[in-house]
Amino acid sequence: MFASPSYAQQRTSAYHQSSSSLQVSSIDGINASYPKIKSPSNYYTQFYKDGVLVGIESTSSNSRRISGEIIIDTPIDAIWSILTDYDNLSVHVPNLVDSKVINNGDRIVGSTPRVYQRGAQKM
Amino acid sequence: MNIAVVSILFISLLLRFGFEFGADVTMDMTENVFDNAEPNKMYSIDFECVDSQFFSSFDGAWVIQEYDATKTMVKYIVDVKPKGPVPVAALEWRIKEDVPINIMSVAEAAAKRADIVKREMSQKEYEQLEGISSQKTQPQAQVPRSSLAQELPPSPQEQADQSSNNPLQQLAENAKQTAKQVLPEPIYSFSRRAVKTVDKANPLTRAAIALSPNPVGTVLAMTLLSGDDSNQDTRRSKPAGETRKKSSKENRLSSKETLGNNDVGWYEDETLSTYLKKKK
Repeated sequence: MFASPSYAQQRTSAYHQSSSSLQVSSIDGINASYPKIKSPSNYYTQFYKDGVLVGIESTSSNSRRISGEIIIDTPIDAIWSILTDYDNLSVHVPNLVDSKVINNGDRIVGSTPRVYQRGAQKM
Repeated sequence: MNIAVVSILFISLLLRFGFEFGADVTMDMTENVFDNAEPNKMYSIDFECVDSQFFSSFDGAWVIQEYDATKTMVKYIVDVKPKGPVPVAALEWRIKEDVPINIMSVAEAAAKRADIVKREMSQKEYEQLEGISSQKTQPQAQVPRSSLAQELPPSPQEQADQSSNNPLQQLAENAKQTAKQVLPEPIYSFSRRAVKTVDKANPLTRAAIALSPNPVGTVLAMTLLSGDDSNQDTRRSKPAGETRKKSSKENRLSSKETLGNNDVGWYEDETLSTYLKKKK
């Protein structure tokens, strides 16, 4: 019914074989040769965008599950340190105007920080 | 009425009133470290929307899993449900654009950070090596210095002096500065040219100059014969400049190309209506 996981893996590995670092130069080619995959009745759509495998799933008529996946040539700890640095996330992510922890200043491991984020999307 | 028409109407209304879609979300983050995922490390952040103007649901997760020492899988999943009159198609249209951008920008930031960490590590190693080598060589050299200047910390000027160790070089530099200030411009430039011609001359000519009965006169004659170097330079630099300009243009172009390839397309030239049409 949907694209098999092996398809996604093949494409991701093809992308990573073609580029040694964070270069996304070959992606246009992939986008061109592997167009959107849709399930019947548009329940699930999957496509590549900027090297990221994007999936849109209609979980109901009024809700969506949107996902993105990629394998990158960076150690896991570096990514973790960026993702958990909530106060500086808006520095790295251009779509975020503001991002800050609002409940506790001193972070405790295993705690649940409450984060306020504001997007910069324009329509 | 069909959903597409409703959403287009809605968006056009927003645009009509100069509305900017700035979605704000307050989320609770739960950080998980999966210890049982050995040998491959796996971390995740679950986020749950507690307050938002636009979303009645904005829950999801970042999942990162180690493939090997350098490769990591990054996955982002979000369940979105609009609040109020916002059509879900509008959110879908916007978020499907944002997801790759967000992932790639996080990846780029992480790559930069990893680079910095690497550089710091190598710097530390370098300093350690340096420390070992200085321990081996320095003690003898340090004895007189420490006995003489133990109480007085070196003033900035002294430090500057130490940086350019050669006193002859310093003298020459000072002489040059005073000459520049004292001598009128044509004489100064001529003398500079004379020095340059001597510098440029091959060892044999230099020996000939040194052995000649009137070295100064020889140098002056050579300088005059060599012609106005500065003029030649400018004449030569014109076409060179052009080529340089060209090459810089090319460089700019090529860098743009690479940038274009690396760049995440911020806003695809696709409106909501065309997106919905394509979907049909």
